[in-house]
Amino acid sequence: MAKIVGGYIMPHDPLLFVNPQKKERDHLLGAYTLIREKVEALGATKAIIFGADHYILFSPRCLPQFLIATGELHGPIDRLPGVANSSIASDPAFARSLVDYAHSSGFDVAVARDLGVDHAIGVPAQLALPTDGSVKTVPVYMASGVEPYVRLQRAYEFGQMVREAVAAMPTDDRIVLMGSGGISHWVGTGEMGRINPEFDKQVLDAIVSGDPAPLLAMTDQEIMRDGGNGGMEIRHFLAVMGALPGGSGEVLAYEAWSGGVTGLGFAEILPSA
Amino acid sequence: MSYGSVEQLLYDVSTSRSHREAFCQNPEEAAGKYALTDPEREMVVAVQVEDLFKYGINPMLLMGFWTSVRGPQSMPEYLARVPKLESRLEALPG
Repeated sequence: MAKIVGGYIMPHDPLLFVNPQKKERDHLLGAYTLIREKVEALGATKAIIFGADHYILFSPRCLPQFLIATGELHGPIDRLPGVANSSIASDPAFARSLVDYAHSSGFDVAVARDLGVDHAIGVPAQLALPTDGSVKTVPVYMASGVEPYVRLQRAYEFGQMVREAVAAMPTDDRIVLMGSGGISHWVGTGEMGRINPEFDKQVLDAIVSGDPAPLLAMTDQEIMRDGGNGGMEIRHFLAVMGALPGGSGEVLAYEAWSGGVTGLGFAEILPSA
Repeated sequence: MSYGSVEQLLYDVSTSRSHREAFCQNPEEAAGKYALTDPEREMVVAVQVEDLFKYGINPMLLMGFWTSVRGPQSMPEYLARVPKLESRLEALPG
């Protein structure tokens, strides 16, 4: 039977790679390497990565609430120094089985049969997974960057559904989950560059405690106020938490990095015993 | 009101080289291919990020449109001009 062996959250701030101010960042890039080593040690075979489209992939003519890519993958398509836009190993049959389970559970997800992912999926896939393609990626895009936003509760329930889907799979897959997103950040607004460490701590505390209630209690207006429009990406963390109920979390790295625009948080959630 | 058409134009210019080049060469003609009202067309052609933000355009899309047309080196000007998110929140009921 397949099982979830670990969960991770990590940022995808493009400025961490562009680094226009030439700030020290090795310790932050090292956090991706640390996660990759943990994924290798766990013997993972699949990675389900939750991310947001940044109005790069999906146009105003079609904006999915949930989308699972079921075919060939490459990316990130938005050029980032040090993150190659190259092939990403996938497993179409596995991804399709997740889609089928989602549909049978009341999540009418959209699919992409071939996808060039953006940095939300591309950064974790290229930096936090083994480079030999041994861990196949399943991207799950949520409407966290463009309204109408997926509701927080629904994002959490999606994670619960993923947990059930994995438990029903007859394979021996060992699956890691990755919630990709910055914590507080304002993108394209007059506040851009502001980071709110208090909001970031609130989010990381919830992840460490394994209790989603403080995050689920937030309104979108509160998130926008305290965490910015980029803070809506906490939906991806809730999905990981929904799939790992009672899991124990640990912050691997955090910094309100002055070279970027995002509260950069890296954390691990291990399954409950 | 054709908010969706405005966002589609901004999306096309942000993600397609041919659309970007067409817009930069002749903004009026490029905008004329979308069903925009006169005020919408004026905001887009003049790259009025203040008004486009107030109109409700997604900030990520607006930033992408700006940098596509004006170049990434113009970000300081963008940030000086674009309103704060809190101005939108203050406008919400409740």
